Amino acid sequence: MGIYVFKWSKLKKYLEIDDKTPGSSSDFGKDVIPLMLRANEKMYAYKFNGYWKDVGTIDSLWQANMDLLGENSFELSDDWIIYSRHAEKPPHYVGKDAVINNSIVSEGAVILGAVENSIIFSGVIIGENAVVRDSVIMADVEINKNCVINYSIIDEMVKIGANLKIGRPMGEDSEITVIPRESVINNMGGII
Amino acid sequence: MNALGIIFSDMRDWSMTELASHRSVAAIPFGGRYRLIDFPLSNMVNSGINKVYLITSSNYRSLMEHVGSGKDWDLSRKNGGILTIPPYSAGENHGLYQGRLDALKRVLDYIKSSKESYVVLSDSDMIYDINYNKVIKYHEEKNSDITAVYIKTDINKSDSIHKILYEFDEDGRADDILVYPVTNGNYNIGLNTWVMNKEFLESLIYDAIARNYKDFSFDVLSARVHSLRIYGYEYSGFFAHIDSLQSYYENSMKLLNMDTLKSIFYSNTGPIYTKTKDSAPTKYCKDAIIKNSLIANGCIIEGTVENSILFRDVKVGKNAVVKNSIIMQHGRISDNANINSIITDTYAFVNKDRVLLGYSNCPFFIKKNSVV
Repeated sequence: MGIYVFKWSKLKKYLEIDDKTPGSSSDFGKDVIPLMLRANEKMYAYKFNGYWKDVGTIDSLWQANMDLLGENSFELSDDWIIYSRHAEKPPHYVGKDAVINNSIVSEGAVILGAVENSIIFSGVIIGENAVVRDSVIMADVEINKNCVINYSIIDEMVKIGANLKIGRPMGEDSEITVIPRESVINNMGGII
Repeated sequence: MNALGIIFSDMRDWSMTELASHRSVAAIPFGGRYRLIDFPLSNMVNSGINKVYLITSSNYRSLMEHVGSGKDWDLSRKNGGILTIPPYSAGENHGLYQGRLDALKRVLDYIKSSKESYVVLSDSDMIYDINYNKVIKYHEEKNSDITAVYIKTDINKSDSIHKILYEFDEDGRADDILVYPVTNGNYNIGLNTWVMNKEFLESLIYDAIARNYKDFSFDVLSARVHSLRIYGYEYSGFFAHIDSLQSYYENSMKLLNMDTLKSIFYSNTGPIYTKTKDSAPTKYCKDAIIKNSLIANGCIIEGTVENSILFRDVKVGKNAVVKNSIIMQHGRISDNANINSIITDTYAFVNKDRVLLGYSNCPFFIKKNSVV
């Protein structure tokens, strides 16, 4: 997982040796650890049993978000606080005709439409009769009324005009639709 | 800004017995993630006031915990910042304050030591959104001794009896001030917010010491209305006076209106600051049903929530139904429980299958740490 704990004196020693080794790529996995192994240093592995995911691709980023909705995968709670920056926003408001199922919603959001299997960041506005499914909607996105959003990652501060369809329903051959930060999508065209 | 803020944490807590039984009025949780103190404090910070004295009287532990160093309001600073002033328990001038003027007497040395030219006095039980710079400008224009912020409203619309009513002449100068009158109709109701020159406030306090005055409303405003230049500054936005369980409930429920929500939390004056807890966002499970509600972070909802306000870290179990209710921090509503028109204080636990019913004009209150 790329996480190591060293005795400080040993780390200093082997980094200095590595520094003086011509042709070393100075990589922990490729150079430093093998060097210590050859020198017969006491090295142990610690087996981690918790949730772990590399989120370096669009699919894995989407999946990691969805893992938050699973029963036994990755749970955020006050027992192990993840600290973050906070916008000064009120609690989220859920309207009279809203529907929210199997989703996570953050502060400052206003949900007037339907949200299913999705992650809603702070300050997101979802208009009346809009439907958001299987998607990750990042902070301060505005989705106007009657929109249908499927299987998408929508980056921060995107504005989506009324009555638009974004993304294709999740299925075997559909791909995740990604809308870049601060995009403005309206009826005059754009990504549909 | 050249003004000192003074906030009174509880001037009238006798009518808030349930919510203020173990905390200052200023520390009463409101609006899903705030405490009442956040509103006057944010008004001050948004107006550029960076020195605030918070005058507490009793049971101020949760208030101290909430305000802390003041860093969440950007009031943790070397020059100015927030200073919480509890009463002395022994020595000269010890004991609880007997009124606003008495409280001011006890902090006279702090007032004298501050270098600001103006003082803004505010209570903690009123929610409104104002830029004090405009009030101070008006105060200067009228060359007033005291400028009182007021709202024109029908007194019948509020159940509060603790009102100060102002009558003004054509120039806007007060020519009569009534304290807690029994009346109805349209009046200029004071928001218990006053602007004064600091030196003038000092002179008022000296006078109060010499004459043993203790009550600002009666002994200064009402008694000296003709000798002092008291002017009114009209405020016309959203206003709520939280001074009973009923007004707490009604004004909380007003937040379920989008326009009200916007006018309070997204106004031009600035955001409402509060202590941040870094909770995870709220999770709605597969069978959750949620309508017309205000939900803070850190909740897990498996059942039904309608027309309600949920504070941070509230759990609503499977098939549980929460309607027309306010559930404060760390509340637990277990599976199959059914509650309607209930206010639960922090850490309340409602067991499985319990049915609790209040009524909209008589919400049922459940004390802190109660297990039902």
